[in-house]
Amino acid sequence: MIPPALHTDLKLLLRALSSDSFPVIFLEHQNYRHIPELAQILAEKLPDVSFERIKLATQAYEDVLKTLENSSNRILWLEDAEFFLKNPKFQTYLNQKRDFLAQRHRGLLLSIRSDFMPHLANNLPDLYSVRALSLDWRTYPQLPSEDIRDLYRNYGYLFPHIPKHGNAEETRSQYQKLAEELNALSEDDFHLKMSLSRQALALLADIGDYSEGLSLAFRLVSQLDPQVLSSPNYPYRHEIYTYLILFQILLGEAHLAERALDKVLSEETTEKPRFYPVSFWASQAMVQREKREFAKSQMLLAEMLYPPNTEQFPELTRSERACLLNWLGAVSLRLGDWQKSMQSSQEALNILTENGTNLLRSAIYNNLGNVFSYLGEYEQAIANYQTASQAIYQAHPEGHAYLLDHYLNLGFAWGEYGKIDQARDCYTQAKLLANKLYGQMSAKSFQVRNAVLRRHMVHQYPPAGEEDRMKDVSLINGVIIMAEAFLEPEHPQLQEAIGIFEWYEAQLGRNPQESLADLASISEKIRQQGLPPAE
Amino acid sequence: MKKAYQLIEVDNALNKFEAVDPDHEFFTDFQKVRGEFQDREVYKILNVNQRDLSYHVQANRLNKTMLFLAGVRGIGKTTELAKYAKRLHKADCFFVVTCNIDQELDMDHVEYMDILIFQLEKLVEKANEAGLKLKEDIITSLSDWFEERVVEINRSLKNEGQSEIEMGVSTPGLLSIFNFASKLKFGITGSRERAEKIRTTFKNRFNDFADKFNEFIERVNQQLREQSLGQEVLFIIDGLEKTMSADTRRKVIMEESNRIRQIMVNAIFTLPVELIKEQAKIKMFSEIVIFPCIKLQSIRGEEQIEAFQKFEEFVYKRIDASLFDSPETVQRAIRFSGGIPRELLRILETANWYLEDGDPVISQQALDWAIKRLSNESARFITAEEIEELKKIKENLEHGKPTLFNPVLQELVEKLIVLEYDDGTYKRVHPLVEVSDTYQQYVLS
Repeated sequence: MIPPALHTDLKLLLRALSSDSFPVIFLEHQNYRHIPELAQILAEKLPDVSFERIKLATQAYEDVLKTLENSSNRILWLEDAEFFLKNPKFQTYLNQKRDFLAQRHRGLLLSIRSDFMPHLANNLPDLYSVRALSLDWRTYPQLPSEDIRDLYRNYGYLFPHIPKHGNAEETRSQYQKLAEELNALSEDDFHLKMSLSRQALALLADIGDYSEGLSLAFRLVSQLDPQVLSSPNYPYRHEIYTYLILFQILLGEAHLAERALDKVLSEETTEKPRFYPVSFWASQAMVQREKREFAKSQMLLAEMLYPPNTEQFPELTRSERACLLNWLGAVSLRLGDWQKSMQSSQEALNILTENGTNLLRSAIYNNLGNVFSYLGEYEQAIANYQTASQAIYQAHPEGHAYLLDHYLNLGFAWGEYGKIDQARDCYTQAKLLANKLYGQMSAKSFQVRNAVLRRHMVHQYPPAGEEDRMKDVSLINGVIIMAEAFLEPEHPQLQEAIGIFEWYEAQLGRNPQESLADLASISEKIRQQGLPPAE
Repeated sequence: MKKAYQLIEVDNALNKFEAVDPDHEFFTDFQKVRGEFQDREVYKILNVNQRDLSYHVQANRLNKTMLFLAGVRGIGKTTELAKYAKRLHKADCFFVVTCNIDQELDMDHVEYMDILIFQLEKLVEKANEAGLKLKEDIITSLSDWFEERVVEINRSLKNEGQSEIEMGVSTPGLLSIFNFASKLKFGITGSRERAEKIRTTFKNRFNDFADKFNEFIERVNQQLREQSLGQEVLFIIDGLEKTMSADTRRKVIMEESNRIRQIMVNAIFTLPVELIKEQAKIKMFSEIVIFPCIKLQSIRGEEQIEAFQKFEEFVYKRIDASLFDSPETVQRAIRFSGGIPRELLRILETANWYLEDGDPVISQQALDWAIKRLSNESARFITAEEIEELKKIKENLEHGKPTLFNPVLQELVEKLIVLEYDDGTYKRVHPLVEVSDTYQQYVLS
């Protein structure tokens, strides 16, 4: 319901929209929640006035311009006009074509997010100088959160970084159904294909099938780029790229994720990073974390979560805030700030409703476990890791990618607690799960094996016996051979493996360079002849 | 647009998007009330005799004028230019060619080169309409030159696997140049790479092009005189401030001054408001006339009766006096416009929207509501730094002192929070801002 305080505004708005003098009206809001109700009122009160409603976030640039120029004698309603301020092309267009639009149309209504209002006088000076009304609707009442969420979805905002669905089996069957539907579509159904594909990406992210997700995202990007490269506002573009980046990170390919992010950000036409969609901010924070640039990651997250910038991201739901808070907790711990880390994860847990996703809940317990582990309170750490694992098992009894971290962390805590056998079990579970989910030769599996070896370095030497040591050496030899054969020479996981190898060789009093040359020759053979058949 | 005799017609009469030319019933000539600005200053700079508006060719053989008309948005620059186009376009003065960049040169990245090609296209179009008969040799010379460039550009485009510019069937006479200019304009409004290729080719040969352009203009001028169509060409180039980004506009004017200087033709441009601060540099290669707000109040606070009368004329030409509850209501609206015609239209438009069904006239009460709304809206985004500047302006005004230039002040002028009168040294805060809650609380208290 439009509150009484806005009734005068509404009356003026209706009056202005009835005028034939091409009123330019700015309607300032905090989010898009006024749109459905206002649309209904306008349809009822002004039945003779036709409206052309335009959502910039979900249309290609060329299509928007065609609509603006071709549909005549209508009120143009730009429902997310802040996109004009994101894009200099649009700005120039609106300034330059102001008089042209005035000759063809009956008026221009721009719903515009509050944080963009102060920039209007500078960025759209010609349009702003002829404004007929500037309405402040920041006090429009809240809708139920689910409705708001749907509204944002419609306006191209997304945050796919947390899995949404609870039940793996159900999600898998949804995905299979969708995949069949996608296969049946022809090349001509480009837009529908893109729309359905992004849903498929969301489902694959939920299932934890990141390899399939990445492969689909790559296919989509290769189809998307040639067609809509000049249209940064193309619907789903942000989403598909965000999934691509997300999958690359989750598959241990953070350096590729960074390249993809750089590419897509360079195509963003704004010079003001704060206008990037929230998903890119989150991806940037994630990439920086993976690059071990924890301070940068922390800064990006804090900018999204705390004033004065929180107004930039009103679309964040409780779950999303919880996810970001937990990330903040994780990077704060890497910076040694365990108090901040614990506080952020606790806050995340507090704002997560009971219906919150189990996977997110498990990630929060995992970080709390890390805090206790950092403090040397291993019993508490183990308890938190176990809670985290249970949360995953509830939704994904067959195992999930999130469990990899839990196994590694739990293994470390057990090891430090003096329970080497339990630790070893956890590491074995981690390696098996990585192989099962991603295959032995994937970057992610190499990443897990490297992580296991790193942990062995910490709590097996010097107490480990000769047998354990030789097992490790054998493992690292295998990692190097396979990584050299299957990954690019500069791949971070190969470099990591070489670092570990050098450490082990030094412990054994051998020259690592000679041994590396021997391994390289085996790798070369595998590259040329392929792997020998399994026995 | 027609004068309103009923309230229902008022919206249409207040249309802010159509500039009126001197023949229109709404046209109001504010020339005597713009403080120190007089249109005769423009005529003088253009070397036009002010008594009979004639142009003496022999006395001005080498005096070609590049004039920038500078002023904030909504002040009436386009109307003023339309007035010059009307008054100076005559046999004993200029052959005026108006180029509306904002309407016809549709692109993000414009360079001076593009504007010149556009000018050429408009000149040829208008000359052709007027029946100008140019000698074949000058047409051939310029069209051959264009053809060579197009061949050169095409060679380069072909090497890169891009589609070439079509030469088309050769057209006789002036139209051949029009065809080339149109094609090149089409090329520069196409893809970025293609536009770059065209620009680079022309830039590399700019000296050559400038000579050809100047020679062509000179021959057009001779022919204009022979056919009694005018003494010389005068280009009026409007809309520069509406096109492109501020950066691009700056580049066109500031960084291409060397090229601008090479072109020998009379031209009036509107100067984008953000470049007014560059006056000193621009004056090195051209003339600038500041087109100020209409002064409703002297620096000592005395109301300027003549200016009020002109604005009343402006209002009553659009809306019949019977549609206001009293002349005082109109005067009050004028006072709050700060001397900017478009601001006055906005105030009246909003007041009209505040009327209830059945209200017979635009009342002072509706006007006051409109003023209240517009004032708070105008002051909404004033920053703390700007408040300090506003305090300074107020203090200086009280002591009759001018306020010195600084970037904050420039920003306030661009946003129409501060208005400039006379030659720009008399500044005062927009009357709408003065009555805003923000101003009352932070500046007056």
